Amino acid sequence: MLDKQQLAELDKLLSTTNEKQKIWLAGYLAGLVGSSMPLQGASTTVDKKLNIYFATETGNSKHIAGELQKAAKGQGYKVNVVPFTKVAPKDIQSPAVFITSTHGDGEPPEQAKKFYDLLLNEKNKYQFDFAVLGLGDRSYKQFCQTAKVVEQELLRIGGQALVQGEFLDVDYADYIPAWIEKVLGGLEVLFKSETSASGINNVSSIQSAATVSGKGTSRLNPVKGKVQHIVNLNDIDSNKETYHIEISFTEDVVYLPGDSAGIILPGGETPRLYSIASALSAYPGQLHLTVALATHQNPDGSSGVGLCSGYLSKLKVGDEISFFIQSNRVFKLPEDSSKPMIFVGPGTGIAPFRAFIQERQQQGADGKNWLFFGAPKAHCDFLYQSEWQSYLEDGLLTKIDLAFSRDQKEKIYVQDRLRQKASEVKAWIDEGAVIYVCGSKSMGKDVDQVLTEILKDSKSDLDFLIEEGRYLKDVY
Amino acid sequence: MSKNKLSKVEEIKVNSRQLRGTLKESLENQITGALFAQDENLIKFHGMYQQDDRDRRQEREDKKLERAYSYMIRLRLPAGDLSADQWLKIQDLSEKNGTGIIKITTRETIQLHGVVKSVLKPTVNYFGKTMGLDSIAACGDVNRNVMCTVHPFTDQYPEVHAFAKKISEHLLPKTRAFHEIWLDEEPLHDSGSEKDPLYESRYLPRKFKIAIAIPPYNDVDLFANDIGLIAIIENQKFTGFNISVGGGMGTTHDNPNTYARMGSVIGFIPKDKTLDAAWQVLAIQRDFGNREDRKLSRLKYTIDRMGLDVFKKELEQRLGFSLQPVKPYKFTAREEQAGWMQSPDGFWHYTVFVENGRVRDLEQYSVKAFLKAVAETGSAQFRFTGHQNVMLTQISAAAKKQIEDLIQLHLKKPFSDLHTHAMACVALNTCSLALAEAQRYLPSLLEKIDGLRAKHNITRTITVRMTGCPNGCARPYLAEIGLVGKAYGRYALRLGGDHLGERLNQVSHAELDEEGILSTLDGLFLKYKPCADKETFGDFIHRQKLF
Repeated sequence: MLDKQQLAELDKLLSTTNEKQKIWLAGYLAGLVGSSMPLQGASTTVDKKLNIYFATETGNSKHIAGELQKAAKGQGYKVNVVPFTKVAPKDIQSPAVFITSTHGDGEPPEQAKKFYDLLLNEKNKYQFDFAVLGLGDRSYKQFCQTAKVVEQELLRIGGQALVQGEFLDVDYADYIPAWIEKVLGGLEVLFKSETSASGINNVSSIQSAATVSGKGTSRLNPVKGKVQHIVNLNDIDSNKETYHIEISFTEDVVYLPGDSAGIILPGGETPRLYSIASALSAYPGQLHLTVALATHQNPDGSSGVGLCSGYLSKLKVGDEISFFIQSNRVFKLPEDSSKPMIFVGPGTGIAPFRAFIQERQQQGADGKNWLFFGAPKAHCDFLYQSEWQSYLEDGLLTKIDLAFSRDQKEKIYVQDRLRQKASEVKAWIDEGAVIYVCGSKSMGKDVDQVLTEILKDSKSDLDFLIEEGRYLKDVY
Repeated sequence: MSKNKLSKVEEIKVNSRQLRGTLKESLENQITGALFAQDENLIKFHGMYQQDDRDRRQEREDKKLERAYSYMIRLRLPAGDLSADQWLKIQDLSEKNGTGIIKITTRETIQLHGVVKSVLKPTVNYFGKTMGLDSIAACGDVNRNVMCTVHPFTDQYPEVHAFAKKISEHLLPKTRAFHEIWLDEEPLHDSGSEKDPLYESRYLPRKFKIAIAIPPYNDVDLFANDIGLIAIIENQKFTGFNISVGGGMGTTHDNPNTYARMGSVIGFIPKDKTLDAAWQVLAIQRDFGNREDRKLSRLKYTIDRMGLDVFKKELEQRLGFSLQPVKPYKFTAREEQAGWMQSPDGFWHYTVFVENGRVRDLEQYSVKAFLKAVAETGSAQFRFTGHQNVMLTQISAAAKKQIEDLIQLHLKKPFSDLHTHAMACVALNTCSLALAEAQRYLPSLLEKIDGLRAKHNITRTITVRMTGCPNGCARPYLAEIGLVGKAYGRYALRLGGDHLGERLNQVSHAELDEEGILSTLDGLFLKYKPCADKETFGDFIHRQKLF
């Protein structure tokens, strides 16, 4: 304990320092303390451990958890990395770092929901140290809402903050190294253990947690592209309008199949995201989008169109458009190109699978591919029909199952086709298939259900697939 | 006959398990609105054609969609008879599952266009289950729809008319393929290998057409058919038919081995031998017809190759008796009698002109609404004619006024005789064989030809027929002015046919555009004018040996 004068002088000094300097100071002090500790012997060295809990949607939280894990390991920590889905408040291991993103409407991401609800309803108190990192988007009102609430609630149930909660915008990548340093600093203080200045400096060698290289990586640094082609894919009798838009760009923009493009609206509203429907390897310097014109009824009975889809539908060849890449680390082709894949992508959900197939074609991959597609009517709503026909002919697409809901008396959807093909789906899964689902949330839930049924008596159930990273969803 | 290399279609037929092919699978295959390749041929035997909207091919490609495939369904309607109730159901079905425009063909039946694959089976099933109608053998290498004159003026008409249905049924394929695939019939023990004494498993080398005429009316264009049956009525009794063989339209541009031929009348058969005679003519064609080159497969070529005498001997041998000498007959009219007519039983009948057989509402001529209204009265039945029109039949004297009122209400536009006697096939945008427009173009050309008639003060009518390709489905080779599509906007001009359908026309110009057609006719009308009150335009050209 410092006496009053010491404390006053310390506070005076501290008031002149910035965050980075404070962190350095912590390390410096730790170093001073650490150097006098015996290197071996019957010391009461506390085991340095760290528990990192993450809730990820597009893999960024998980990636950051990995970066922190690496850095901590480098400092001699034993690190556990656990998804939110596997922890309840009563199970929190101290010290704990919580990393979570927030959905646009302030809601926790899918993976965080269970923990979040348990936390809010937790009546007991526990003793633990923690830090929270939130990933969000300042263009939304409830910026990092989930992370903020998590911090608040963790404090309520007795947790002690190692360091102040960190809430980062879309350009979070630039701030991660400093945050990792801060956390490690806080942990060092907790464990009062040895650390060298060089150890802290190692943090700076941590690779930037940038999600993609090149330009156009977030809302804050969009790039300009040009519309080179736009066509309504639906035919005359359809009640839908789905626009295939090809955007070309000259900047060094990089994206992978499974990533989305964020469209900057001329009016400055929150950017909207669309799964990219092409692979750079097949179409360098371009990205393709599959955009459904969203329609709604106005209170006065008149009909209106979606803000962004309306804007996109009216674009003409030659128009300029601002966009950025929103990467999705999770929704990716398997590294092993011989792995079978099952795509479930009705309507515009087909978009990323067009990119996947193009990529597989460019790779010369020999993995089997099975597409489940659905739409109202075959005659006018079969998005990219001629492309799928030629992939099927070439053998790149191994199987295709179609559900055209309005083409017969009873409505048939992709979920029904999955159910009908249960034994074959199961066989593919047993062969190691990765299942991808893209489209509406409710369809995603139905697919969850069907797969659970299908895998009922199987050695790999749905949770297993999820853990293995073999059941991936991009739903909205 | 050498059997070196049979045409591909022959192989498809023989391997099809009596016309089943993979039609079931084709219908279930959702990735395309088309059939598997080989089933395209087979579905014709079921009365359907696979088509696509040719106008929209580029746009569909731009949308990364395959061609806009759809199906045409042609009904089997011997003698063209349909009830009012059936008409209402079919019109509704056409709205729901097709284009909404029913097409009356040139052979006394109707077809629906624009039926997409996903509703094809339900549509055909509906025909069968609710109306007892089918499309069996309406297309394909089989006997097609059997025609009969629509004029019911003789006491013997019902007896002669009944032969259309009898012949149709006698010559139907024995396969149950249609019933299994479209009507959900359980396959019988011999499914796929039904014994068919007439068609065997190879069917005919080509299409086969039969028509019945009762002189003096040749509204069925008897001599355009493979078999023509001229009803002979002696002493108020219907005794039998003069039989004509070897009529056929179809040519191929620039192939001199192909030609249109009129039927040759070879003898008289008593009525009770009619079915046998028709059967045996088909059997001869089955055994001797050219199966290597489909362009030379029709009965007309078989007969000319064999020699007519040889053919006749073969027929008599198979029948077990000789044909009697041809009995006298005379045709005096080919077009349908216009307006009201009464049959001996007291019923009234009325021929309704339908431009190019397309049942749709035009300005001042709402024939679609008219037919619906007529059908709803229940006071008339329908009979489709050989000129793409429809006759309202069996109208009682009491109901005549009601129908007349509807006629006055709906059918106001006065079409010129040139229009009412003209015929055009469908051609674009659905027929895959079309080289040029037909039904979408002929009306406007007729306006201009009428202009030339007015210019030269020619009031006598002229038969004009246009087809989009040389197959000649609208029988252009028997017209006074025939226009056979060669390329987009260009037609072969054929002149000199007679007015009754008893003389073929000849090519006057191999290829003309509209300007060429009109200037040619202008010059000819000028020459014809002095003779116009004495003879038809066709006879004039023929007599003058101008071509």
